[in-house]
Amino acid sequence: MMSDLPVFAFIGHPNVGKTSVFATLAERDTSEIDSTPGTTRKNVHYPLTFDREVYIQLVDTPGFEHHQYILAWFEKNYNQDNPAQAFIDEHLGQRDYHRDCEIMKVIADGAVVLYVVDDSNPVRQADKNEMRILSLASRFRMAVVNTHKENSQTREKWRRELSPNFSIIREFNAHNAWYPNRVEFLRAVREVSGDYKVQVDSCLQALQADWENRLAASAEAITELLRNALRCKLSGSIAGLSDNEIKKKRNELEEQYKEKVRHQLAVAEKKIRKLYKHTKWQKTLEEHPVRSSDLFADETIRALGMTSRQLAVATALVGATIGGSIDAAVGGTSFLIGTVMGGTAGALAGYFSTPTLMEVKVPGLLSLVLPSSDKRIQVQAVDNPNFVAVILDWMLLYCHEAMRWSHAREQTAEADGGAAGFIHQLSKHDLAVSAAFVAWVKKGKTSRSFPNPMKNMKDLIGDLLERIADGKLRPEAKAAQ
Amino acid sequence: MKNNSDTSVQWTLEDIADYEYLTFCDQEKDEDTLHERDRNIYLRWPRKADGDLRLEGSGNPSLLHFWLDQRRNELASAEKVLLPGAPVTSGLTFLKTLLILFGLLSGFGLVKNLLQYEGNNPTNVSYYFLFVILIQIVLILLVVFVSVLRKLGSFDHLRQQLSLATELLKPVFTWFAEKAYASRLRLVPEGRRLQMLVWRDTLTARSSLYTQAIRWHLVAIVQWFGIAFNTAAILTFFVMLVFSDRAFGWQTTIEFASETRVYQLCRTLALPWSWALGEGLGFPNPQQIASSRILLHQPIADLSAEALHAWWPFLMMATVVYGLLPRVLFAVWIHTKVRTVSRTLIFNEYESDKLCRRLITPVFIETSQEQNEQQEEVVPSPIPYEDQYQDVQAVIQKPSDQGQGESLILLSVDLEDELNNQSLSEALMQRFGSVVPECLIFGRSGADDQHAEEVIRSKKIAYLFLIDQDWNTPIPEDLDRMQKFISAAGELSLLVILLTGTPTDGYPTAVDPENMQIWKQQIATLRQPRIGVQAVPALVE
Repeated sequence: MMSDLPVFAFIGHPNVGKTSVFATLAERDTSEIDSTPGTTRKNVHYPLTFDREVYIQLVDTPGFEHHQYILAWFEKNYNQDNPAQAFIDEHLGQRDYHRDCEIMKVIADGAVVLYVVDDSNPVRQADKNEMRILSLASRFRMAVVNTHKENSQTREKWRRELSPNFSIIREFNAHNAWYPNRVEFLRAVREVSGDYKVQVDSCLQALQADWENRLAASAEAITELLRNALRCKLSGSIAGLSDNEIKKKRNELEEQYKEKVRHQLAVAEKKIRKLYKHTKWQKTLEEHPVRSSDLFADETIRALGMTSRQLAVATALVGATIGGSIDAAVGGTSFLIGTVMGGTAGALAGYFSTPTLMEVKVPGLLSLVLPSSDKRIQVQAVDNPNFVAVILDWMLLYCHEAMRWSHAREQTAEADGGAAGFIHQLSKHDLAVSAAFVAWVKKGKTSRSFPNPMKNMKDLIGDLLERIADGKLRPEAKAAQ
Repeated sequence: MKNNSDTSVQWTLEDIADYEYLTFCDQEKDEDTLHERDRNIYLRWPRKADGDLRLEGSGNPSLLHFWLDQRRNELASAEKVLLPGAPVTSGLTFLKTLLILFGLLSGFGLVKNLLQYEGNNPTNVSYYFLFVILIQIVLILLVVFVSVLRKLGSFDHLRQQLSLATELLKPVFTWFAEKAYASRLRLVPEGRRLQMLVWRDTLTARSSLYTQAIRWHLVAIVQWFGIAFNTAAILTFFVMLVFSDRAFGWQTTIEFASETRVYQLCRTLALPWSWALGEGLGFPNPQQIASSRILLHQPIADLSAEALHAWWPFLMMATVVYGLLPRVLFAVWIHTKVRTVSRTLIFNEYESDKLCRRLITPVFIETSQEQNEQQEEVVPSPIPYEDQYQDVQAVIQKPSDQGQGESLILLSVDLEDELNNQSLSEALMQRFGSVVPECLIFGRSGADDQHAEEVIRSKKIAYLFLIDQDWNTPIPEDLDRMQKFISAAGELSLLVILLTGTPTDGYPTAVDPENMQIWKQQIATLRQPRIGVQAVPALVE
């Protein structure tokens, strides 16, 4: 017999989606999922481990290969102490029954049986045989209806067939399930055997703590990305260059800058993929309606960036912060003219700004007095908060996909999501936080309202991610005009 | 099913390759289109002198060869399609040329070296005798020995013993091959992977049909090496004799091989030609043998010039009689064997049967009156309606009347209800016509399956139609069951698996192509060419 560690084994007919359910629950996208029956050849054990402590163990098993024979055997031998073990003793070493013995091994060891069925097809004789085998072989069992196809005509019939053999029947869509569904599933599993309630409860708590940690770590990764991207600057000397050469130099620097920011994005995305335990998934996002375009493309900026109005508010806040700091410097004698003017100028600049993420600074009148060796051209992020908005939206979309993307889902499946991101749903307070963050990174200025812009930004992103995880914040279906 | 063996047509390897390729390509095509195309070919098939249609079409090699020729012509005129037959023929011709060239070079090189003579010592005939004549005599004796054993029926036993090592090594090789194949397969996308598995297993299953033909064709090609080798050896020998003075002698250390024994050996070997070329001419006499013995420190001038020249006719005749002649005779015999094997190929497996069915079953076309004229232009129909009707009756409804055996339906227990609801029976009527064969249920219990097996064994079965649902893809237990059914039905029967799609509102729908592919792949693992998979026509699209 196994130790006190609760073991849950996914058992069923070949090709009903056992591995898909297993992969989703275990967040394991390395499981080989294939439409050809018999892909799983031996038991795959996966301990759910948090802080190096194993809470429960999930086991993916091969499908039944000789249900008719096994049922006949069990009907003859059911009165034995452990019929599953007796079956193994009799058939071990026989190549034909190798996979059936693998199933019996977990049953004989006392695992809780999670019998997986696919309700998109009618109930077969094979399914009836398997239900009967399990009722003869195992004490603790639950039926898991893999509802990967919507509006199944046979769902009710399946329920009728399953209910005499299984006290608990749970629907689970392995291709759409994510954190809340996993939690719900484990709660149901807890009820199958009273012996394991404590361990499963502990597992649920650990799962929740782990999820919260993922959200916090994602927020941290995005905040750091924003800071680093905003600080990113590239410059090059243009001393002694002709106009054409300057133009060429400028283009080179722009390309280098874009490449650098893209690299920073890729590093952050990798961190997030790792947090959500995705090792294969990446390709699908390249086909996302928005993310398939280049980050610096106009359509991306329009879809993900702030609306003109939002931008006006945010830039007004940046202007007001800068003007306010001048007012403060003159001890209030300016009657807040600095704040008002800064705010107005910012609002106008934001409203009428062109959609771009970077700006190029060329030497102006100052160059006349500078020595020729100091004449330089500089590429950097735009001063307005749209840069932050686009990258933040880009990353929120990524997180949205990463947290919801089932580990059993086909790599070629279409990505979810609409034609735009989340940024247009941000409140004025949120915009103010991002504006303060930009002012702090770019100019080193802080305001009274947001004395710790880095932390404020991280909290804002954390809050947005939580709202996304709770389903309160969804990507917009259509980009704002 | 009737086993036709029409010996009027010879199938070459080129034909076999083309036939396999074309039938394989047809597997994925629409059945109705294929039916119309093949039926048109059949209608062009020449009638017998008395004007009767040849209805005994199922598995008829002559009909299938006609179909093959027609298809080749169609493809040649329609598009530039490279059929695999031509490269196969080119490859074999190249192999034959290579073997002939190698034979000529090795024959020339060996004789040139063995008969090397620089005027100091006579050429020692023993080496020529050993490498050119004795080895070939041993080979002839080996062939005779194996043939006698084969006649006596002991060869299979011997082969079994010899193949013990092969059997032991086979799993090791198979394991390595499977591993290598599996690692390659992992790199292939899922859909393509399945197709590759189907190709591999289908190819293995079908190659067993042509083992004899392929083997004898290759043996025939190999004979060209022997003929070329001996021809080159004789010509080289002859040229050397004509253009240079040669001296032949023999020597030994062992006194056992005395002059008398050498003489006896030569006389025995010369028996086939001694009636024409006697002692002293066709083979050396005792005096010549004694005079041509090479002794150390004895100068060549002391040896008799006549004795030194006496050996060459013997060596030349031995090469002709024991080298060239058996090779030529063997090549002629193998050529006859190839012709026999090529004419007696049996096309009783599933794909050929399906093709024959398409050929001999008339196409029933529902057309409105306005369309009739146009339709007649497309599908020529020289057969009177009555004949067509008889054709259908003969093929579909009463196969037993044709001496081909009965048909039997094996219905999955999961479809039993559908049958009772008459939804499936409608589909079956569509497939079988008005007379649906006897139906047995399988899959409910082991006892039921055993009963079905016994019923099959008790009848003379031509076709077993196993009906199942496409999504219920077979597991090993199902495959074992199918293997048992086809074994019980006998060697001349076919198992046709008819699949229905997932029922919607009680009616079977169209079969899912992915499920169909999985079925084909799983069935292909049985490596049984007499089992095939088809879709039952859908009642609901």
